Amino acid sequence: MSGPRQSSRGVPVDDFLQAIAEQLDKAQDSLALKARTGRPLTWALRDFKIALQVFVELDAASGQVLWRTAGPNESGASTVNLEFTTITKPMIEENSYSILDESDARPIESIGIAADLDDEDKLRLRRLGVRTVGQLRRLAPANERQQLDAIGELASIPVGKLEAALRASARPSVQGHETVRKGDQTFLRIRGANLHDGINTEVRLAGDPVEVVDARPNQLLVRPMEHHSSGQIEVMVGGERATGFFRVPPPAGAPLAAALGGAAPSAPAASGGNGATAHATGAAALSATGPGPHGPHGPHGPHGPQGGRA
Amino acid sequence: MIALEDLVLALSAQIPQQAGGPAHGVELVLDSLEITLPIESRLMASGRLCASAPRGSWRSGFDLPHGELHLGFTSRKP
Repeated sequence: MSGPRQSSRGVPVDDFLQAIAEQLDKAQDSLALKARTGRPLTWALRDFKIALQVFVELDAASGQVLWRTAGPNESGASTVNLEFTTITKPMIEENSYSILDESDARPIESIGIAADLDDEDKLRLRRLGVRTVGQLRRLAPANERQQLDAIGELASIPVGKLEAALRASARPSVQGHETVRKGDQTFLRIRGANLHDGINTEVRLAGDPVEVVDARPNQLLVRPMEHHSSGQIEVMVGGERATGFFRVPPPAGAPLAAALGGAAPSAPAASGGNGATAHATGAAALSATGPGPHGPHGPHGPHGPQGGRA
Repeated sequence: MIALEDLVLALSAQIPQQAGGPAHGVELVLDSLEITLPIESRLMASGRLCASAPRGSWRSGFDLPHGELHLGFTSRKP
């Protein structure tokens, strides 16, 4: 008998559990399919237990726990006992984290740079169950200093970094947009975070103030003007400013020349907004038709009145 | 070795759920089934698990350590 082979690569436990759940689902589905073949009775899998001989390893770089099945004549393997049982749909819903219920589902990585969180800090937060910005804000409310101290101590993350992360998490952010057509009217739905504080939200498209039809923290519905075909989105809320880029596709059947004849945003593509890359690329492509009514940077220059937010 | 789901299906297919009938004077119906057996298993790079019943002693003597699989089935009418 020999000891474990250190050079072999293991499988992350997360990957294994997802894969085995998928395999059991497939087995259950196949058993259910048999019922359609006219058999009077079929089997349904009720319980599943498995004992595996594995070596448990820790990948120091990623912090992931890896499992590797013991090879021939390897000694010292651990026995891992897993037990699955059938649960009902209400039980799943009761015990599952729902991304749809998350008020701010941005991954924690999205504020990592602004909050000065390094990979080790993010790993420690993940171990506390914090994967999204919304979870961070629920874990560490900004006005609870004592709680913040305790979390910093527990997670070994400097409190200053947590405070910076909370500040970054509270800033507005534009993450994408889509056009919404209702009858002959065209609206723009802007998606993001902290886009409305319950008091006031101001939106400019290509430098023009536009009507905000509906405002929620994670999305805004605005009414573009007729000449708005593409340009910079600016959202001002609570003294903070977030930027992105928009493009309104021409209505079906509109001539291409008319579609390209609107205000073109040109250089804002380089001003550091945080709109989706595809939108920024589209805006840059249209800039070849010439600058818009406010010149290459809009009415406030390349960074607007307060500068863009990352 | 085969994929775990294929092993589960293969094992369930081995056991008849009914035997006999009116012609035999008695009919037996299985309500539930419990199977426990030793297995050889291997985790693939994708995370999927392959397993099989032990394939006996290898001539080389390099036998895989055995795990154990327990399956509980319940009978269901379509």
